[in-house]
Amino acid sequence: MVSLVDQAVYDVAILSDLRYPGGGAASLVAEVRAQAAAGLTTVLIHVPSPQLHHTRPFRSRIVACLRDGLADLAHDDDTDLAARVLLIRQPQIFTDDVAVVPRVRSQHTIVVLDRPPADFAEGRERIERHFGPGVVWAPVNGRVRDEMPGWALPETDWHEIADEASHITRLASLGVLSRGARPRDPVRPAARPPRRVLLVGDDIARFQAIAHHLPAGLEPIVVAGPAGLAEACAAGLLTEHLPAAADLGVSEERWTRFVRDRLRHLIHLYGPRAVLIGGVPHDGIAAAITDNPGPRWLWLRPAMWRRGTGGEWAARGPLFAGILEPGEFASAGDEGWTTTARAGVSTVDPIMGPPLRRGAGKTLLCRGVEATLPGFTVVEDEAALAVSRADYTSFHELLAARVPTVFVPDPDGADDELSRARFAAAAGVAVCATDDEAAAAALERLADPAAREALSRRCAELPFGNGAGAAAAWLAGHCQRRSEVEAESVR
Amino acid sequence: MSDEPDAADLALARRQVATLTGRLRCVEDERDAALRDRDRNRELVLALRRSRSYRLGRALVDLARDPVRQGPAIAGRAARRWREPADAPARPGPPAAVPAHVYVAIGLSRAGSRALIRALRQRVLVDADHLPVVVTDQQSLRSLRVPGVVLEYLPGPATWSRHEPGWDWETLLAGRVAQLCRDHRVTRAVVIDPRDPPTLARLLVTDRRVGSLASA
Repeated sequence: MVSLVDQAVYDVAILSDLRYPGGGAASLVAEVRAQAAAGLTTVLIHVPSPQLHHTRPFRSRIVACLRDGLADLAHDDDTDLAARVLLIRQPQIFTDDVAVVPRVRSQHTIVVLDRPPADFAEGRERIERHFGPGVVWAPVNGRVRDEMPGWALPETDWHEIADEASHITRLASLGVLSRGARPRDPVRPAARPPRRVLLVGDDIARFQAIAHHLPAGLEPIVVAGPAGLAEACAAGLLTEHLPAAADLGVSEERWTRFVRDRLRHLIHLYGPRAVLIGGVPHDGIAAAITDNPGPRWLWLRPAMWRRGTGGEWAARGPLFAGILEPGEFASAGDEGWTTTARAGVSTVDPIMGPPLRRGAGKTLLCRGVEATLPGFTVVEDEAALAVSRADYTSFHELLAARVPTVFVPDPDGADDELSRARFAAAAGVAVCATDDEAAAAALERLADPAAREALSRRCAELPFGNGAGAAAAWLAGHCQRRSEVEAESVR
Repeated sequence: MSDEPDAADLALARRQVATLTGRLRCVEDERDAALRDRDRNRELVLALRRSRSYRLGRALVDLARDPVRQGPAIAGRAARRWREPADAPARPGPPAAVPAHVYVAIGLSRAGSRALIRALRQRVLVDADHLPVVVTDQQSLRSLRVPGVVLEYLPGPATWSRHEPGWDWETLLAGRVAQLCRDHRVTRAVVIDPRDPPTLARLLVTDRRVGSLASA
């Protein structure tokens, strides 16, 4: 064994013809990377093979290792090198005399044999002459080992490394220990940029329900107005802000330009595959679509419009690559404009968040309505009885949870709450009350457990499920498709 | 006492650099736009001078220099003066929009944010020389809203790092400040030290740097 003193000592020296084609380069590079990751120093020693007559560059993967500083390259002069372990790869280099034999001192010298060494007597003699008689001959697998009867071989093969740890472990068995530090940043494959989708609007409950079902590689970013911002943030969604015209104190015309510019900025920032618009595609949205043809623009179009309202938005449908209409339990009572504009529109079951739970005892849930009932305690969730506005989310969540409910429709609501509540009452799954007196009377009737149980049983017969998963799948499908612009740029 | 900057000092310095970067980016965009405008106007002037219409107009001007032909024009101007008294007030034009100032107020407590926004409201009451645009990481903007102050939300560093978007928060801040400068026609950007948000008194001192108010 050679004593290594007063000289910079590499942990590992790898001697090979670094131009050599074939799989050997991959193994070599894998070992270099593993060593660098473990904080071990490596020097590559290039010995031109007499069998390679053509001038070739080093293998590109080896060049990358040198460029990234994962290994040093030995000078091709007569400088002495010292290493704890010397690995000789492609020993067939030595079947003929080489022009210059590098001077390497090492504690261990291992010759890695990746093919059976037929007619290798001369080569073996040269290697042992140059690097000492203590050379260890290590086959890479059992096939090579079987071709080497009579050779003194180690018990284990010098197999291709399955992971960094296995290689470091075998080096450790030779006295080369990992330093546990990484003097140079290992080169990692570039992370695949995440796919993103922008969810624009204040329809936070439905956005949250859809986001919950999106595949792991698709990140939602909510762009909410001041009304929905806090709710979206509280839901744990990455959220951006789109101020309303009233917040800015600007004209509609100026706000249109503002929305267009803000969406352009956010699209540039996040590079989304798709932009899902919840609510109405006002002029700012239309301008943004024209201005940013890259992502797929999609419309989460609500149903249940009040009769005679909203028809002007029908003309905006062709701006979108896809339109999804969330399901309505009361769709049979829908008199809005979307009932005659469903060609090419996808529909799913009602989109809801995590299911509510029906409570026990005398508990009352109030949503958007203030009410009390003697003997009942007002709670925030898990109620035995509810009084609520008939907005989309409350309506479907309460019915799905089979909570006996008095719906008090908001006449100024964004959609046709009155038709919803009346339909539910006609179906026998809830009670509709259009004023405070009627609501109080209905609550008094539902103070009777038998009346509540009858409503709950009727709710259990409802046929609808939760369409959030299907909506997420629809959205993810659109994100997988290339946009028109991408497709055209490829053509 | 050590003069070494602590983590909060360094964070504030990074925000100031990012804000300055964003502001400069906007100024560069404005400069480029002005240059494009200038070049376009030059081309228009050259094209106009080469046009037949211009040459014809030019000939008319030359003819107008003849005093005999200027008579009707002089009469027309006199008639207009007679119809419109000299002391009639000038017709008011549209009010000139005041410039906006961006205040980057990240990391303040809810109470601190509210106090700052109210102080800014007071400030523009004292002198409506600018429109304050406050960039905050407070999520409930509705409860912070006051008249005359625009609120803009930006995810804070902690929120940003939770979502691992692939680039650092200061890069986000620089890009957002540049965008806000364009959106709101900003002429000044100020980074607020969350440890020492300014009061009205300090906001009124505008001719030099005051305490935690670092102008970018």
